[in-house]
Amino acid sequence: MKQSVFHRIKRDKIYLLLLFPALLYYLLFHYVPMFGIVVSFMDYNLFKGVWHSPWVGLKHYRMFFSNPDAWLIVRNTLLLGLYKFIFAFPAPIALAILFYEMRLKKFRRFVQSVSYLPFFLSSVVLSSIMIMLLSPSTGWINKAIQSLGFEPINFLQRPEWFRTIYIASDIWQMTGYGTIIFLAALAAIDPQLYEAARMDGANRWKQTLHVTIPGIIPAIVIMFILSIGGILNIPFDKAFLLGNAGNMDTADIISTYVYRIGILGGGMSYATAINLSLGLVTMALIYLTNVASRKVGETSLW
Amino acid sequence: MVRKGRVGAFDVVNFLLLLFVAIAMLFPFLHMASVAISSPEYVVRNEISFYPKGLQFDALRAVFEDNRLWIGYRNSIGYVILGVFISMALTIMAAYALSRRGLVFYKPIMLYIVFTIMFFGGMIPFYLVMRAYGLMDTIWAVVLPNAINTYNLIVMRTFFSGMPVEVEESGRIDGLSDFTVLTRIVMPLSKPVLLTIGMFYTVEIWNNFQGALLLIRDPNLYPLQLVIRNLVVVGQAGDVLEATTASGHKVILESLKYAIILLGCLPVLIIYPFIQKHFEQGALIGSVKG
Amino acid sequence: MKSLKWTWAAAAAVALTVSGCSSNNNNNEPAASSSGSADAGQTASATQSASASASTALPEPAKIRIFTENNTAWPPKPDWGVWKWVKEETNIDVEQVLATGPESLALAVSSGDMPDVLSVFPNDVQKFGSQGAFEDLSKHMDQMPNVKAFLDSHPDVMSRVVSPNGEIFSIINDGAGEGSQMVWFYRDDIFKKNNLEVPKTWDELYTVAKKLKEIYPDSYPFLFRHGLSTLDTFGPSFDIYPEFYQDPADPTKMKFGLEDPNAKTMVEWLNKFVKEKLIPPDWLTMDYKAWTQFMSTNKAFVTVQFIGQIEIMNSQLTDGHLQFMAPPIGSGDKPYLPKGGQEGYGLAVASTSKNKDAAYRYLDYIFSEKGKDIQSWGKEGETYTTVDGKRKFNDNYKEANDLRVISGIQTAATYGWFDFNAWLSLVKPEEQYAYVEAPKYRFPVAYSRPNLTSDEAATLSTANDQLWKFWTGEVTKFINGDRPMSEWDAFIKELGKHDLEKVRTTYQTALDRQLANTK
Repeated sequence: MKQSVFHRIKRDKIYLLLLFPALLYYLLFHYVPMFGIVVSFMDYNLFKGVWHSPWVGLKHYRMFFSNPDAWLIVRNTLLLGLYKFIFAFPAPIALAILFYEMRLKKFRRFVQSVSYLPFFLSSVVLSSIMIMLLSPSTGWINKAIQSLGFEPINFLQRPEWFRTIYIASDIWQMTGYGTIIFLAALAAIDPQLYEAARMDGANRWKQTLHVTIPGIIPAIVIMFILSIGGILNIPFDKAFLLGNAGNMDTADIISTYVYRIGILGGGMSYATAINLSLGLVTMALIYLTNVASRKVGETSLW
Repeated sequence: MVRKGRVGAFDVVNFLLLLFVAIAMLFPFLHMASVAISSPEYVVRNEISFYPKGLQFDALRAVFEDNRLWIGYRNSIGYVILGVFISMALTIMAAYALSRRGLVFYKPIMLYIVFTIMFFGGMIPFYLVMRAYGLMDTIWAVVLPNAINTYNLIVMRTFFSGMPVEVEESGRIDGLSDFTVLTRIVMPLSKPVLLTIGMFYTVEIWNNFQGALLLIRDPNLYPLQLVIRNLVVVGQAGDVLEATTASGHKVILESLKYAIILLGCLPVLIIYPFIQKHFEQGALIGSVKG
Repeated sequence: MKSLKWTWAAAAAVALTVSGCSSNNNNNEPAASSSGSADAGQTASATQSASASASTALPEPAKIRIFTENNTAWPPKPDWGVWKWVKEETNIDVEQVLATGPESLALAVSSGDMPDVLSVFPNDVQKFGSQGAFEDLSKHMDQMPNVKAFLDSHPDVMSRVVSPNGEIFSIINDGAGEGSQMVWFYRDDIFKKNNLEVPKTWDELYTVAKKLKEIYPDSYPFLFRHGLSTLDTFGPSFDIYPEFYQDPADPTKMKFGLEDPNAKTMVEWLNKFVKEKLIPPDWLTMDYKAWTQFMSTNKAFVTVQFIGQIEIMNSQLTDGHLQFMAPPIGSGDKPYLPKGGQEGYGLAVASTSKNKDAAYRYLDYIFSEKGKDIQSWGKEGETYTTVDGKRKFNDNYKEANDLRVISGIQTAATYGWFDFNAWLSLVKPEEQYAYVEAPKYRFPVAYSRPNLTSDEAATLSTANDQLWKFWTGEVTKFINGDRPMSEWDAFIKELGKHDLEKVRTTYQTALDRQLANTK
C-alpha cells in the first residue's frame, strides 16, 4: 500500500519544515562555494577570477596521473590511511569499555578527563614534542632504549618507522576524545539487561560480549562508515611536520604533495583536481560500505 | 547504579591499563606546565622533564598581562554560546526529522548531506562566497559556516532512530504534536547524546581558528585560538629564544608558548567533569524514570 | 574528524611555522629578511645618483593602505615612528593591512580588494604579476626618479625584478640582509682551553672534531640545524651550490652543482662525520630547540647558523663564548660563504589601486637617499643624537631588535633601501666582528635562478618537485651511509631519469633570455 509522493509530503510536512534550515545551510555554505571545483578544469587566474580563466579540460588530471611519483604518493596515502583505520578505529571502543567497566568512579573520571587532553594539542606542538622524544641523541625514548643495552634508533629519518610513529601518535592523541561518543552510547544501555544476563549466570566477560558490545553496535557501525571516509583523507599538517628527506619514501602523501605543488607552487587548479579525484574515490568507498552495512545489519547512513 | 560483583582479575587489569593510559596522556602536559613555570636557563638547556626547576612565573604573568588574550577569551566564550545554540538547534531539528521512519525523500536528502563531506571547492572560492554574503568581520563568520557538522548530525540521527517506537507513540496517544514529541519526549530521553554533541560543538567552536583566520581582520573579534595561534605559530617562524611581551618584558618563548596553550584549553577541561556524570551507566534510564 | 575543508587553511598555518627551516628547494629566509650588499663602492655611487628629494613644500595629502607582515615578535602598531616620518616627509597617511598567513595575499588578489602597496616575495610576483594583479612599474619611472636611480645603481636587484617580458612588478628591497646570513661560528673558549687551532680546511675540521670528541665523548662537535638546506652554506666551501645556479666559470650556462665532482667530496665528508658521530644522528630533523640545547650544554662546538644567533647564544652561555670563524676550505684555495646581498622581498603596487600616484610617491620616498636615512635611523633628537660625528640611538633602544619593536624600523614595507649601520650600531661591539668579517668570504655568484615566464613556471613545478625529492632522498642516504659512496656516479646518472634535463633546459632558456635582455 504505497502512498503517493504528494501524500507523503503532506504527511511529513512538519518534518520537512524542521529539515529546511539545515538544507538551506548546506546549500549556502557548502554547495555554493563548491563552484570552486570548476577551477580544476581551468588554468585558474586568481586575479581575473573564474569567469575569465581559460578552460583546459582534463589537463590537470592528466598531469597528476602521468606523474611517475603519483602512484607512490597514492600508495603511501592508502597504506597510511588503512593502517590508521585498522589500529586507530577500535582503540576508542576498547577504551570506552574499559572506562565503563571501571568501578572506582573517581579514578574513572580522572582518567577520562586526562585521556582527552592530547586532543587539544595542535599538530605543531605535537610534532615538536615527538621530535624531542624521538631524537636519537637526546630523546627520552632512545635513552630508555640505550639503557636497555640497544643501539639508539633514528626514528624520524627511517622510512620504515614513519607509519608507526604517525599512527601511534594519532592513537595517543585521538583515542580519549573518541571514547566520548561510545560512552554516550554505553550510557543508553538498559541496566536491566545486565540484571537478566546475571540471572542467566553470565560472568563479566560474557556480559561485555553479550550485552555491552551489542548495545553500542549502531554507534560502532556509523563511526565505521564515517571513518572509511577518512582513509584517503589524511590531514596535511602532521605528515608534513614529521616528514623529511630521510623518510619521504613513506611520508610523502597526497596532502603533502598538494601542499608543495598547489600551495607553494601556486598550482591552484592542479591541487583542486587532485582533491576532487580524492573526493570521488572517497564517495565511492563510503557508498560501498554503506551498501554492505545495509545488507549485513540494520544501521546505515541512508 | 553500580553492577555488583567481587573484585576480580578483570578489575585489576582494567585498573592497570587505565593507569597506563592516564600516565601516557598526562606526561606532555606535565612537561609543558613545568616548562611554563621554570627559569630560563633550564628551559634553554632542555633540562625540564616532569617537574619545574628554578620556579618562576614570568611567563604566566606575561600571559595574564596580555590584553589580547583576554579579548580572545571574551570573544571565544561569546562565539561558543551563540554557536552551540545555533548548531544544536539546527542539528536537533534535522536529526529528528531524518530519524523519522519512512521520511519522504529520505535517501536523496541524506546523499545531499553526505556529499558535502567529500567535496570542497577550495579556500579561495569559499572566501569569496563568504565575503559576498557579508560575513567578513562579523561574529557570524565564526558561527555560521560550520554550523552543522555532518558527522554530528548523523550520529544524533542514529541515536534518535534507536529510540523505541513505543516511547514516541505514548506521547502521541497523550495528544502531543510532532514538534512537542521532540521537545517533551525525545530530547529529555536523549540527554547523553545531546550533551555529547553539545560538547563536540563546544570544543569545535572553541578550537576553530581557521574560519576566523580567513574572515576576521579586526583584532577585537579574534577568538582566543587565533590569538594563540598567532603567538605560537608565528612566533616560531624565526629562530628566537625570547619573546617580548605586551608589557615589554622578555620571556623565554618556549615557556610563554606552553603557558598560553595550557591556558587556552583550560575552560573546556573545566566543563567536562560536569558533563561526565551523564555518561555513566544507566544515565538514560535514570532520566526516563526521574 | 577533519573534513577537507580546512586542509588549505591548515596547510597555510603550518607553512608559517616551517618557513625558513623546511627542506624546500627555494632559498628560504626568515620573515622580514633581506640581504644587502653593502659594498662601499655601491653606496658611494648611490649617494651621487639620488639627491633630488630635498623639496621643502609638502605635496597633496594622501592615504594609502600597505599590505605587510604580522610578526608577533614586533607586533605592528599604527603609531610607529616609521609611519609618522612617512607622513612628515610625504604627507601620506599609511594604514597597515596585516597578512594573517601566507594565503592572505592570494585572498586579497582574488577578492579584487588589494591594498595599494604590497609587500611581496619574488614567488608571489611570479604568480600574480603575470596575471595582472600588480602595476608594471617600469612604465612609471618618470614619477619615481629615486627608484630609477636606485635600480641603476643596483644592477643585481635590477636583473631580478625585470620579468621575462620586460615588466617590473616589484622593487626588491636592499640593505638589511646582513642580519640573515648563514655563517660559521665556534666555541673559542673551548678551543683555547684545549689548545686547538681553528680549522681552516674540512680536513682540519675533521681532525679537530675528532679531538673534541675524545675530550668530550658525549658531544657531537659539529652541529647544524637546517638539514639539507645547510648544503647551501657548505656548498661554496666546495665551490658549488647544490642545485641550479649561474656557472661562475661560464656565466652563460646554468649549472647543477651536484654534478660537480666537488659535491661528492662534500657528501663524503658529511658521511664520515655522521659515521664517526661527529655530527648528531638527528642532523636532518633537528629543530631550533634541539640546537639551542646542544649549544648551551657544551655538546657542540662548531656550528653553522644565522649570524644573529652568535649574539643570542652568547647571552645564554654563562660560562662559554662563541666567535665567528672563517668557513673552512673544502676544495680550491679560497674560503667561501654563500653570496649574500639577495633580498627576501620587495614592494609592488596593486593594479586596481585608486591611489597609484600616492603609492609611487611612497616608493620614491623610501628608495631615496633621504628616505633611506630617515626610515633606517629615524630623526635626530627623536631617535638618536650625534656625538662626535657619530650617531647614537637613544637609550630606550637597548638592542637592535628594539628598533623594530618600538619604532618599526627594519620591518616589512617600511623601508626600501636600508642603512645597515643603523642596525649594527645597536649590536654589541664585541659581536660586530662577525658582521665585519662575513662579507669577506662571499662566493662570486649568488644562489639564484633567472626569472621564468608563467608557462615555464607551471611546467617546471612538478618536474622540480620530482628532482628535488629524488636528490634530497638519495643524498640523505649517502650521508647516513645507507647507500655506499661508490654508487655516487650511478646516482648522478639516475638524476637524468628525474627530469634533470627538462629543468636544466627551462632554466637555460630563461638565462639566455635574461642575458639577451640585459645586453
